[in-house]
Amino acid sequence: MLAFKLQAIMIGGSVFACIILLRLITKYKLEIKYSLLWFLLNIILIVISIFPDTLNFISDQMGFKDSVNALFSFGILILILIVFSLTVALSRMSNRIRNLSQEIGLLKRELNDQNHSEKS
Amino acid sequence: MSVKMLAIVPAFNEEESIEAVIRNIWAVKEYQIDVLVVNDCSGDNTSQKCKDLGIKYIDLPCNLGIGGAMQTGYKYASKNGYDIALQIDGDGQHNPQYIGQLIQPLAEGKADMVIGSRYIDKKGYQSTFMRRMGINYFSFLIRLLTGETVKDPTSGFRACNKKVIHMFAHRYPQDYPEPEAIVYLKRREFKLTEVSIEMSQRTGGKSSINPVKSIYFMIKVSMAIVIDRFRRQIV
Repeated sequence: MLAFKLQAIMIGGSVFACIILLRLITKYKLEIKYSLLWFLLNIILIVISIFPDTLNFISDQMGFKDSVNALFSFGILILILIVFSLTVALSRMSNRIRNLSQEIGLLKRELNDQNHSEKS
Repeated sequence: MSVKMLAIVPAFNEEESIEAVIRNIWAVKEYQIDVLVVNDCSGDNTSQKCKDLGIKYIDLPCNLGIGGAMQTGYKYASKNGYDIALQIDGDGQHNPQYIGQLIQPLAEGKADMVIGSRYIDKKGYQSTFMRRMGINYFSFLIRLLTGETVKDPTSGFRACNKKVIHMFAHRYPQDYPEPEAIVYLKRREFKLTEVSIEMSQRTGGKSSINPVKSIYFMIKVSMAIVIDRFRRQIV
């Protein structure tokens, strides 16, 4: 069973987090693409804290001794997912930055060559 | 004074169809239209084809997706003082012979952006059943939130005037930009209108949308449309 206090903290925290996420998106400071997993995490937390029986059922099925342990496990699982997705996004970014730098370098070379041929 | 018009053709691996698309734009003799292909880091010969045709093109060094590619075109249009920008897909779905109908409301000052719609006279290629369902859903969502009826919100066959060019150069939605661009323009109180056109099936290449992507597309675009309603009117 989840303690009532924990339920209240979970609901309050998740709703607050959702509001922050929405505010950042409306200000164009967060892309929807990268916010989806965070929304998923918050929605799961809200559902579990309003209907703790779903958590009890899943934790019984999976053989957890206490449903709070199931909660922690799922929380960690989603955090790992988010961190992993960030690693993937980061790798894509570093690829792009490399491509961009090379492109700019090549462009500078080309520009220099053009200037030289105009002078001579 | 003549009107400067630019056709922006975003292309990602469209070597089979790009030439026909450009020749069809050239075939429109009533207007003087400059063509700009934005090659979104294609792995095929799209860039070479553009070079052979002798048109202006931009080779992006990284793949930005349709939103980023389109915005590149708008930035070019904005910097070079174009009065009207046309969006025409590089896959041959959009028939340039409708350009006249598309820009007429702009010339008459009745609209700031015109969308070519397949669903006004329901002629030509109507897309698959599943896609029509999705399109109807977005049309409903946009009507619910903005009060504007757009029958074909995902259509990428569009024309817009100078004010909208500047706005899109400043900010353009990413990933799946078409429906979101409509809500964005409505928020800034621009006038939209739809004109009836026919589309054909793509002539070459393959669609970039698969089942997993289309679910992501539905969720992401729905969120984008709803969240845009919470944005302040400025920016």
